[in-house]
Amino acid sequence: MTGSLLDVHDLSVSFDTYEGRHDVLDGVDLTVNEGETVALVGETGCGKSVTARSIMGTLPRPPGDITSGEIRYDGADLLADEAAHERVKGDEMSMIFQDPMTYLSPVYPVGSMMADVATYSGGRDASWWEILKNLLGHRADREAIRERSVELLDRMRIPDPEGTLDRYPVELSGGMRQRVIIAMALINEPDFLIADEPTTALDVTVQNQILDLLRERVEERDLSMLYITHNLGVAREIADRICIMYAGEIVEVGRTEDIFDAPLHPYTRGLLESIPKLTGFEGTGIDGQIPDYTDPPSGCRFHPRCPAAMEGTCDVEPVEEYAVGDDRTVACHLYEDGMDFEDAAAIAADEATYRGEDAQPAEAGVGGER
Amino acid sequence: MGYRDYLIKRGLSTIPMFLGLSVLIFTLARVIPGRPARLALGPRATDEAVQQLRRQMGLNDPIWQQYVEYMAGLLQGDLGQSLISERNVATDLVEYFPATFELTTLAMLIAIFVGVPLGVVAGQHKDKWPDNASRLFSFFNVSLPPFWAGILLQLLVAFQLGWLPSTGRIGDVSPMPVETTGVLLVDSLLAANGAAFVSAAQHLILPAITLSLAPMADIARMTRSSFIEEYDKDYVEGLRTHGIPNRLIAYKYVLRKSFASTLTIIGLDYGFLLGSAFVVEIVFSWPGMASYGVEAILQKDMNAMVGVTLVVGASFLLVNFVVDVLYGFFDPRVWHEGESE
Repeated sequence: MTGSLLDVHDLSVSFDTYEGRHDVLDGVDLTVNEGETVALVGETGCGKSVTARSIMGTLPRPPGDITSGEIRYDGADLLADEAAHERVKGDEMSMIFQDPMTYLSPVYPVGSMMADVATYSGGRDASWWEILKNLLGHRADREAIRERSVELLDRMRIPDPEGTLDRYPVELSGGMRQRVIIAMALINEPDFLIADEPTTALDVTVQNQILDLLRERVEERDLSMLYITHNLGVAREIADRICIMYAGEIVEVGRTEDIFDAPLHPYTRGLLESIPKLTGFEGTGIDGQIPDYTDPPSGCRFHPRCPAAMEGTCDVEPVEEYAVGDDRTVACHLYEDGMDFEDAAAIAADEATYRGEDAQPAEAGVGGER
Repeated sequence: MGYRDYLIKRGLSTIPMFLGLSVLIFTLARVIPGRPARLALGPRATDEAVQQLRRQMGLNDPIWQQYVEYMAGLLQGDLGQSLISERNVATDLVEYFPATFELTTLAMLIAIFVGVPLGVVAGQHKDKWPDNASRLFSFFNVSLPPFWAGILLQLLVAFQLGWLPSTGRIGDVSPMPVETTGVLLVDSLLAANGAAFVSAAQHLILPAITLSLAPMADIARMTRSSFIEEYDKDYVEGLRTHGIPNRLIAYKYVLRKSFASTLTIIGLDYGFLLGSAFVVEIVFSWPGMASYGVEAILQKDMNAMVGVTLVVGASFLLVNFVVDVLYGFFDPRVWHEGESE
């Protein structure tokens, strides 16, 4: 880890819809260091994918609107410099998508799509002549690209990689398609990878295979990765650091083991306690839902659902991020400057419980779904 | 199921369709009121002469027997005698069909090569000015009756500007192209007859444009809507995320997928073109099959009627078979077993 590769600072994104303006992201800060895997964890609808799309420059605008903030990749300000963004997203960043069923074109063999990603990414323009040649299947470096594709598919442990290139997506299973998608994302040898819930649409055994393959590839090439998931168990397996996101805000950041050993934010505690355990599940989950973005709660966005919320503070004052210890920040009024950290953690542990009356004392850190 | 099996299945299914069509047309032509023998011989002919012609034409036999005899003749290329031209209908059709085929095919090609890009541009710029302009243009095309559009084009391009001839199929050129296929453009090319080719093309342009307007609008509209639907799909977002040029995404990925629904419209429109070619053939004095067919209907020339309709029907079946073949090419899922999405 030599320094930050991706640096998202104070990113705010709004969406205009018929119901009004949705302030979806509210000052997101996110850092991914070189060679590091960061998991972005949160409920469905908390803004994880919007963050990913903003970074990849595929946020539909309108209705989306980046109202403030900056995204720096290796020093280049991507939001200010569109050309740099195009170049970076083609050559250095890549993305793996959620649903392998819909992210491959159904009308071309998978090899054709891989070849196009290999040839054209990087925001290059294609002349009519080039497109015509492409449609007729003429390609200058066809053999080289094919070789590279075969090698990648082989690395993804796809049986008969040569034949797979000529198959249509309908002929492949979900797990195979996801392997193809990962291979496609790796074909231009990116330095930075965003994985947007790549295992969500797959069943659990396939999920683990894909996760293992992905981790191998990342370690082998020393990639940096932002791994988006709603599954803390998956995050624990793959990530060096975890960012917990709630309603468009990052509420807690910390090293994976720290998050699981000693969750600080009441929301993180709630998430961890919502994981069913072999010894029986006594939690009640976190009451309520992600708030409506047209009129987000004042103060801390989590306060209506927070068992440790302090009236007069949490519902009024906007919450800031407080650094506690190394590599660790938490956005909660309990940890305000001036508060004693030990006291605050004790209050959180005491009050932020999501269990029935006569439950066992909180025992965080026994997470994971495997 | 492989692509070949799919093709064989589609190909074989056109045979019963053609047979059904022939039964229907043949029966209809014989049950509609009117006395063809009397009409052919005129009011002064004696009853005996009329009866004799009826016998000769087999009109006194049961319909099924007439049908079997007709189909037996059809297999040998005999479509029966025409009452007007007093020639075999097959001979007439060989003379007239190529002209209509040339006209409708060129019209369809124009419609496709203008309509599809119009639809794509409209789809790419949904609700912006290119979309509105394209939709307005399509709207005009649909609303213009072909005879009126044809006359307007004649007035403007042929008479006012004098750029192109207004009527006929070919001008005075020597040597005239030798008839091999009957399609003048092809014949003159085969004979390397430049002058004839230019003249034939000049005569063809205006009627072909006139005829292409309505299907062009249909194609543009269909392409636009399926393009817009397809443009929202996840894999398009995926390609964009990888930084693939928009033009490649639009014309390679999205268009190929959305062209499948356009193809269906093209198949249907081709049948419609064969029908509406009549008006255009009249306006441009085009010696085609449509005017021959209408004449046949007015004169109750049964064999000519059945012949024309069968040829139109067979072309329609053929075009739709080609559409099915292409459909399988554009969207391989059509012939793949298993899941559809």
